[in-house]
Amino acid sequence: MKTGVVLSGALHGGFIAVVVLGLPWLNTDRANMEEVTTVSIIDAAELDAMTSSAPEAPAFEPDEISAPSFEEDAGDPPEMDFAPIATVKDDVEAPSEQDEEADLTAVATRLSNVEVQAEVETQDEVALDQLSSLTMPSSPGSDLAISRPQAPSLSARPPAPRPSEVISVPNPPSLRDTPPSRETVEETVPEETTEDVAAIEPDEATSPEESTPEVTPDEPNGEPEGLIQQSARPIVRPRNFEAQLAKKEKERLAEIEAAEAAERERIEAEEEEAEAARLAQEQADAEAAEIAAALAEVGSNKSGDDAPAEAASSEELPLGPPIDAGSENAFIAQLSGCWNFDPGMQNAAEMVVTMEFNMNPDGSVVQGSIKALSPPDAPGIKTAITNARAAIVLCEGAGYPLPSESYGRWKTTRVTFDPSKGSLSW
Amino acid sequence: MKFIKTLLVGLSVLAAPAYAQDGCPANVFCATLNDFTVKPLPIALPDFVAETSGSGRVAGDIGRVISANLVNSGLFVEVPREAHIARIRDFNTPVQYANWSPIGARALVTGAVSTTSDGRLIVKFRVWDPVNQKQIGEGQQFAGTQADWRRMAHKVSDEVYTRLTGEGAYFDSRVVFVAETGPKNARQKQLALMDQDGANLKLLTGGGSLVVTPRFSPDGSRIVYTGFDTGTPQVYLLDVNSLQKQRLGDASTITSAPRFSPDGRRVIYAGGRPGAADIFERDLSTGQRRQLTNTSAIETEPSYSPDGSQIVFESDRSGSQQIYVMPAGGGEARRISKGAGRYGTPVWSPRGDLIAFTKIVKGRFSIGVMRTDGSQEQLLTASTLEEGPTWSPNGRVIMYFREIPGATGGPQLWSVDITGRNEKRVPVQGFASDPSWSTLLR
Repeated sequence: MKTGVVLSGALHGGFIAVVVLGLPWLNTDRANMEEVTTVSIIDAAELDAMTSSAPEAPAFEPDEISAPSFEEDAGDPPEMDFAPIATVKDDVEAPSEQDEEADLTAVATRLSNVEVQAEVETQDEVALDQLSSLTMPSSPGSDLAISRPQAPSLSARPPAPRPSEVISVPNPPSLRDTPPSRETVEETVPEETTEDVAAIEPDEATSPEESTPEVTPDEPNGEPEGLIQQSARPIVRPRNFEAQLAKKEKERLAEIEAAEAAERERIEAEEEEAEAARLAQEQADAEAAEIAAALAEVGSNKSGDDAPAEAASSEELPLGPPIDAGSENAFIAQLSGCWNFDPGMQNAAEMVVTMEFNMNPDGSVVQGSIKALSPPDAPGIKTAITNARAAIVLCEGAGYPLPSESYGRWKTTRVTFDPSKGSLSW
Repeated sequence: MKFIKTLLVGLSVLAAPAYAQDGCPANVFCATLNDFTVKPLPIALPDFVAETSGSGRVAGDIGRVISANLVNSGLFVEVPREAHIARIRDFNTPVQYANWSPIGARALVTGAVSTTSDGRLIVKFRVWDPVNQKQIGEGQQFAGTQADWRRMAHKVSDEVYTRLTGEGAYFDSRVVFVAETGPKNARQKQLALMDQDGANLKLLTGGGSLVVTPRFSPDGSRIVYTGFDTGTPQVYLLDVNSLQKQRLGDASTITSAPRFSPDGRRVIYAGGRPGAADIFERDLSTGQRRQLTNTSAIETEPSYSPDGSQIVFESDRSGSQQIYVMPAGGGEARRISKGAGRYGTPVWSPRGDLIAFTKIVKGRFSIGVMRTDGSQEQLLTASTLEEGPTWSPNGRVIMYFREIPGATGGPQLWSVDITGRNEKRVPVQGFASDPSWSTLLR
């Protein structure tokens, strides 16, 4: 009995201790769990392959982002930028005006001519991709049709500037009327200006990298401690001025180094986080791409002759909830507004056409996916198909209002344009 | 990942396509549209390029005629020139669709005009679809004399119309009608000819005797009409080019309301005595006459179906003026007009699907259309007095005359789309009645 009581007491006591204190390996589990989870996501071989194949990877190269930003942030970019700008402005003012009158007038005239010609000439119709289709075979049926001139070949026609190029041409009047600003002068002749300044004032006109440690003390808005304030008092010099100066300078440099080290650690931490996020995103993208590839593979296996827009078959997408009547009515209302039909055409009531097209998740129509399921053999049906196709294109707007959760149901949409039940005159 | 991929492939293979009960797959959203809009198609008609010196003026004239034709049809509305953001400077340079779709153009016509060394005129054109980004049909050109510039403009209009509507056109056609001059109690009536848009007016007969109900032959070279040279109505045949006329039949019979058969070899008309008339047919090559109806009623205004197999006419054999259809060789006629009121002047559509008529209800006149079995009757117009419908060559437009009441009033030519839209007056100077539309010129 005593033994039982002792055993029971010991076990209960041990259990209570475990509940209160916990097991030792359970405490380390959390950290380990997080690490294990992270490692399993990143995964070595697959991740490398995905990273190398991911197209976005070069844009997120850490070297290009971290190196310059870190140094400039840790250094004194405001001082570096500010000092040369102020110097350049003062010293180059006179020659820049000369430059303006001499060079910019000529430039403005030249650009003005270009723009005038461009505005007029680019109104001409130019579409190089159309040239190959411009064949005009003769039609023997018409007695008035005598000949059909050949369109110029692609090689014989120089490409004309496109409107986008015209837009990019600077506006001549604004260039001519506006006096060159400080920034304009810097961007136009940065190197020559710097050299001129250096020749005039060698102490201040140095390259940004070289001047960084020296310009900072001269900056009136610099750090409050140290030489700037002391040098502003020229009347009395302390006895051990050199030693104090060296000591204070040493302290200041130490503080700067500490701040730089802290900042470097912070940036490194941020870079690590960004890198981890990038890797996670890449992995997610790679997974999505692989899923899409799998879907495409499945789609191609099931219907290999479909249009490219149907490469990703919707059969494997989750259907989602059924499309409610309100959404369907909204879709029909939007499309009906653009369906222009001529009720006076012959056999108008028989002009029933069915169109099928694919849509993106945002409700936009997949380009090139619109096709007519009705054979264009009946007279007039070709026009009806053209009008139906135009309705789908014209009424797309910002996308058709269909519920996104049901995308699997409307990724492929089939619309029957049936005027027979509409307001036909007869 | 391989597991997911395998799972997806496996599921797709196993999953059978689910079909809704109406035949629409579960993964396809199927919708049906019944309501549509009826709006003129916006069409951009930039200036035709003048490719040779001196052709600029005629290029502008041709462009204006084309624009007027298309817009007057009621099926097109021109995109204002001020809205154009591009200019056509070279006919052979392809269009840039991005310049025309944003301004709302659903169609674009580009063209050029030039003159050859021997003075001939050449008109070229292309039709484009900026929305679907394609050329519609092929480029085409017409050539003719300087004097034919209007016809070439009509030809281009016809091609554009046909390519955009998928149906036949009617712009290169003419109208024969009765031009009326003088006071109301002493009106002179002459046969006159004009283009469908009112241009190129030409008088065919003098004003010495009354003329009514002229009708074109299918090839447009001849006209049959009712003349009163002898004081009684007689059917005459007029050659449009030589203006030579001949009476059909002997002078002792009363004949009226003639119309050619679709092959142009026969003429049907009403003949008989005062107070009664039957339908007759005369073979133009043999002169042989055949009676197609034989009643004591007044039966008149016969019109062949386009295939020549049937004849529609008006008759009061039932006690009131109604529309009947019978076989072209005669036989039992069936009444197709069913509504209240009186029906007259039936004309079979060149498309064959409709019959136009004049309807009189409580003293008010209307121009209407019905199916050839009399169903789906639609009244298109209404006024105190209007009648005499005639079909455009494509069966899309009806021209008729409307009497403007009053001491200074008189008949005018009007036209209306078969949907009842786009009713407008045909620009003819003076009074005009009894129009008859030709087929498309060749």
